[in-house]
Amino acid sequence: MDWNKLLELTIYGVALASIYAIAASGLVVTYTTSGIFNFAHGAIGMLMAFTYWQVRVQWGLPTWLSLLIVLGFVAPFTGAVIERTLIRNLRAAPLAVTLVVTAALMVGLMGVATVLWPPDQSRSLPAFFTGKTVSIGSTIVTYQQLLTIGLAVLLAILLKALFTWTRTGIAMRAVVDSRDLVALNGGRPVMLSTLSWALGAMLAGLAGILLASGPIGIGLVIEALTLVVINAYAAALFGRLRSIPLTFVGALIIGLAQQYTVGYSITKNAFFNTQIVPVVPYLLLFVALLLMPEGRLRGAQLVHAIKIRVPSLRTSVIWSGVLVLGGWVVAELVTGTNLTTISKGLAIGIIMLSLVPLTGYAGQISLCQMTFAGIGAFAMSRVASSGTTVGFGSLGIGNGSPLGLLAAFVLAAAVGALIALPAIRLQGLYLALATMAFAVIMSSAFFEGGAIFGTGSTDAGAVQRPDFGMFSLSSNGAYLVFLSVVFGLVAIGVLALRRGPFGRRLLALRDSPAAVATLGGSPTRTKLLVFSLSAGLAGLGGALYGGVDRNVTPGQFSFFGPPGSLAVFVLAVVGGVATVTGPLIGGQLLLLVPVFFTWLGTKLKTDLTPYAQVLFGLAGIGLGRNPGGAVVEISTRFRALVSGRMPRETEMEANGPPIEALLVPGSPLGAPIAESQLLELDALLDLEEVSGLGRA
Amino acid sequence: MTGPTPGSVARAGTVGGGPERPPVLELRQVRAAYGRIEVLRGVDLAVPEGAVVALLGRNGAGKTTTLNVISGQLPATHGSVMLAGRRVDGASADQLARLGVCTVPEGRGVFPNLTVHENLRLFTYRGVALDQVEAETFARFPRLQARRKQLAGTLSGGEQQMLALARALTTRPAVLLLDELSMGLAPIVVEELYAQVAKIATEGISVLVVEQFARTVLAVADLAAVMHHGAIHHVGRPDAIMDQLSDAYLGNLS
Amino acid sequence: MAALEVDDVAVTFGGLAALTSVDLVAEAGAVTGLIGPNGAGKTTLFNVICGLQRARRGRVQLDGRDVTGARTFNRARLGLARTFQRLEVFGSLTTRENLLVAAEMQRNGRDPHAVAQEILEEVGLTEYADAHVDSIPTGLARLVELGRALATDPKVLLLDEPSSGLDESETTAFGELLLRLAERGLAVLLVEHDVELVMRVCSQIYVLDFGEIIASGPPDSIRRSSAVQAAYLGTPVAAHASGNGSAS
Ligand SMILES: Nc1ncnc2c1ncn2[C@@H]1O[C@H](COP(=O)(O)OP(=O)(O)OP(=O)(O)O)[C@@H](O)[C@H]1O
Ligand SMILES: Nc1ncnc2c1ncn2[C@@H]1O[C@H](COP(=O)(O)OP(=O)(O)OP(=O)(O)O)[C@@H](O)[C@H]1O
Ligand SMILES: [Mg+2]
Ligand SMILES: [Mg+2]
Repeated sequence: MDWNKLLELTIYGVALASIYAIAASGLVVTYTTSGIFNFAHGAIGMLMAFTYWQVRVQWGLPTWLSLLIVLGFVAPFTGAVIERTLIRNLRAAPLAVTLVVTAALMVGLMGVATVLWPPDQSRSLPAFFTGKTVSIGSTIVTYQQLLTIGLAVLLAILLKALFTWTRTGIAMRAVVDSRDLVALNGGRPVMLSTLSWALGAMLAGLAGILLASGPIGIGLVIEALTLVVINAYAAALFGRLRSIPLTFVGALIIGLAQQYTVGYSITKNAFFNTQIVPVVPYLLLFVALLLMPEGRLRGAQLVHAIKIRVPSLRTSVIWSGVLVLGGWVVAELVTGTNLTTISKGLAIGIIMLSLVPLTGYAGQISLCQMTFAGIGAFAMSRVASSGTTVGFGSLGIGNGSPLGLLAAFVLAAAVGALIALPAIRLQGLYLALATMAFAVIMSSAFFEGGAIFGTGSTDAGAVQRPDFGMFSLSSNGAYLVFLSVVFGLVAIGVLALRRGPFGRRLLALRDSPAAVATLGGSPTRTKLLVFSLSAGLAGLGGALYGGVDRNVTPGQFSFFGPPGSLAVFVLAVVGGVATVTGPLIGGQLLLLVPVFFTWLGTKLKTDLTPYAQVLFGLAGIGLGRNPGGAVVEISTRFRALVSGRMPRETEMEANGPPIEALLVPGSPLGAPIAESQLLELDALLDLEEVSGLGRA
Repeated sequence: MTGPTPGSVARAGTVGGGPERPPVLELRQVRAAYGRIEVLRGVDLAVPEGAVVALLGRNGAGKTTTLNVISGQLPATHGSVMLAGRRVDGASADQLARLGVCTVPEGRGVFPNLTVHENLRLFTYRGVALDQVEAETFARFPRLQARRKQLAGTLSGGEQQMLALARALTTRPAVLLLDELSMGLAPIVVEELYAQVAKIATEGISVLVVEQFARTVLAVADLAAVMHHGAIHHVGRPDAIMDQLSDAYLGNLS
Repeated sequence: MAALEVDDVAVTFGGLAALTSVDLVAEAGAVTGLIGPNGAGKTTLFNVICGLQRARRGRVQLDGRDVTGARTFNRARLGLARTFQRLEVFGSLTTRENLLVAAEMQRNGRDPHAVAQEILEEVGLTEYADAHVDSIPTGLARLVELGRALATDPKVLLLDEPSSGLDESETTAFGELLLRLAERGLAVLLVEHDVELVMRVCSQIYVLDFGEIIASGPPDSIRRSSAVQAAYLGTPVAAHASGNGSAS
């Protein structure tokens, strides 16, 4: 046993864990005070690290001043602005919407950072206390490592104290339960929320700066900085997103596990080292989730569900016909890569349709639909091909046998059921995060391992188009028409499901699992069924998606993409995941927008990709204002236009004008009372001699 | 509309005490809506100082909505809300709460994810010390003492209601708005609480109570108002209202 | 053999005992009352009976069948249905759909739509059939929950404070509905703080205090029991009904 190495790895591990702990506690702060899991937490940290670079390195201000500017002003301000513009609209919004808004924010902020600090230049941050070290035994420890560890411990104690012993801290937590009741208790919910998000952003910023500078730093790289914070998610889950001390423990486990697995090559197995080690935090995330004690069956929660009219069978058949007709016209008019892009968009649309029963109806979230799509493509490639393929062999049923599509559905559904078995008892956010971990692990350990779709130019990634004999799908135009037919059929099926008993039961399950159980329905079985159905549909979509180019690459089925599970989920929800038109729009957006920006970029001779990212962020922000998604928003406005009435507010905004509007002088309700008048009133009303009113 | 009432004891020594003091709480032609659906259609109501006023009415008459408007949770679209003769319908709910308008909402009046102790901690917004709040709460509801560290969401329905009502009893409000106080409480507790409310009123606090159980509240009310379809239909002494109730309101029976 | 039998059930939360050795029987064809002070353990007992809460000790039998270890939905399939003290309606569905969800889970060969229609009429909700449940008044939402429970065609019905949120006239009508249900052969177990209602409709009443049954018997004996008066009722109930009109 090499004790020095162990000591060194341990100290590195603890220092890394301390940064995770700081990042994770920021996540816990925003979650416990607003009930929103902030996907953009890492992106905020990244943005602050770059801002710090700007101030410290570019402008050359002293360290203390730079820190003060970034952590004392820019970060809290950013957090506050995010809260005021985005988060406030998410009150009682469904979980899917809150996840999508913050995920979109993440992408948007990455775009902003790319615009402000183009990656063509390499940047680095100086370490704190450069060169100052102490030695423990023969191990050299830098001051920065000590500072990091000390800060993490101090912050854990301070945050714990804030949230358990101060009135403000308790009121911040109370806001999640009921804003109205906080106000009735004399608290200012608006201010408290702003404060929480300012604090969360500060902690993100601190973690970002520490990560980007110094010995264990990963440097100023936009993606890396943003994503490394996801490792902190696992830490936060050890504390069930509530407990700061347990979060700290979780961070230690992850930091140490990471250092040890990297430091000691436990096996000489190359596959293990390159495909498993990098996803250790995700494995831990998955384990942390599965170890979570089983909660009681959830009862009803106050969530604004957006009510959507369900089209009849006749209507859905007619519109599917229109879609196929449209597909045919497009196939006639469009050629080349534009045609295949539209086809891919339609195939992605089918994958997004798989989210409609799962997310739109049952309110469950899956962030691994592209994983199932990849499994579908895999099944298609093995069943419906005649040639040889690497790994797992080939059934060789024949080129393009439609049985491949069946196999895609069945295999994906089976894998879906398998992953759902342990994870399905998780509720809401936890299921979402478990699927995220699953997507990342599968991507690294399965798709990218080389055995599935090869590592490059081998034919392993070849996916056949189905062949129905009489109509040939070998032309791209015919394939697009075929995809429209499939989309139409799946859409009709999904809508029929919604109108029938199973659809009703899914909505019931979303509203109150406890009630479903007392009526004789098994919540677990229902969830398992819908999860598996959804996985199967995604698998079908994936097989068809692979057929567009007749070839796939492992990256397409990763979490981050492109297209990636995250973007598929986000754009499905942005389109409107409780409708079938939403996925149609979402799929096209996902594929066409980048193409458009590339085209525009070549015209303008600049790289517009970061702007596309910003636009993506804005789409999410738009969703925060219209949680039903684009389709619902457009159709409501259209109906209003037709009937000549003002657009009706969405349910989220149905609470009338904000109180602030009434405080504007000259408002129809007359002059509002001023603080001084309040005090006067106070004296008039206050019968006991209680002091400190109207201020506090 | 409202005559002198048996319960409104004239009290000497309060600020600016002329003979013609305005009611502590007054609503004039208040209208309010949820989205486009108008729920209050011109409510007129006055609560004199130190009086207990009962607001009765069928399901969906708009009683809770009225309280929401008074407490600043829902803006009025028309009309005015006056406190001690001054318009306050532009004030926010938290301003009014700090001013001493204490609202105990219907059901869900506690923070389920906070412990009993933390819930009580939030009652200190009127300057009453935490120790005092706890002492008074536990004296009134001994059940809660053993559950100090329990999450309020896991309390029994009645225990939650007790915790919610503790705010009314410990924060020294000037105006008390109670929505369905008796809901989920054992009769013996309801009886005690109403005795408490009556006692508070004699100290000069004005109380507006919304109830379904007309009989229990009428026993302590000085005045009763019956609401129907978003407007006040009758105001009068409890005994008179009781008779009308048996005709008009109970008369609707099946 | 009783429709519902509870033997020696005990539940503790942390260190606090919520139920200590509770025995209770609910017969088919009658409304059985379960009353008691706040926090006595009534809701907890309901949760134990329907399997949402595990008991530390004790047995639950439905129609002579031991269901102590069974899952919630399996008990429901044996004919157990309940309502909740804190509403658990399906708010994003309409009233009719709420009933349909319940009816569709049954495998008794009856047409769910017919069942739903029948129950809408029975509980008097036809007017609200197509309204989304989260926008109807609380009192009526409780009736939706009752209707939903009835749509499962239960043998045993547990009602947790069903009349809260109803006004006097609605409560009276509700009492009559309960009696009709019992006449049809249902075993109804009713938790209620509206003592008048309980006394009017129940043939047998259990009084729970601090997790223990302190009294049981027909309404008259409960009304007169001094233990019950001290723990729960306060002043004799008769005085309640006439004690109005005088201001303090
Ligand atoms: N948030 C809301 N959105 C839309 N309509 C609402 C909302 N809250 C209440 N309503 C409607 O407003 C009307 C009045 O409701 P309110 O809650 O004021 O009645 P209430 O007299 O308190 O009845 P209850 O005795 O049932 O408490 C009802 O028809 C109700 O359906
Ligand atoms: N999950 C829990 N954790 C801790 N204590 C609990 C929990 N659930 C219930 N209790 C306690 O158990 C006791 C019994 O609660 P229960 O809800 O059964 O009372 P109840 O008789 O229904 O009262 P009420 O009439 O007020 O509804 C209460 O004191 C409550 O605080
Ligand atoms: Mg009400
Ligand atoms: Mg109860």
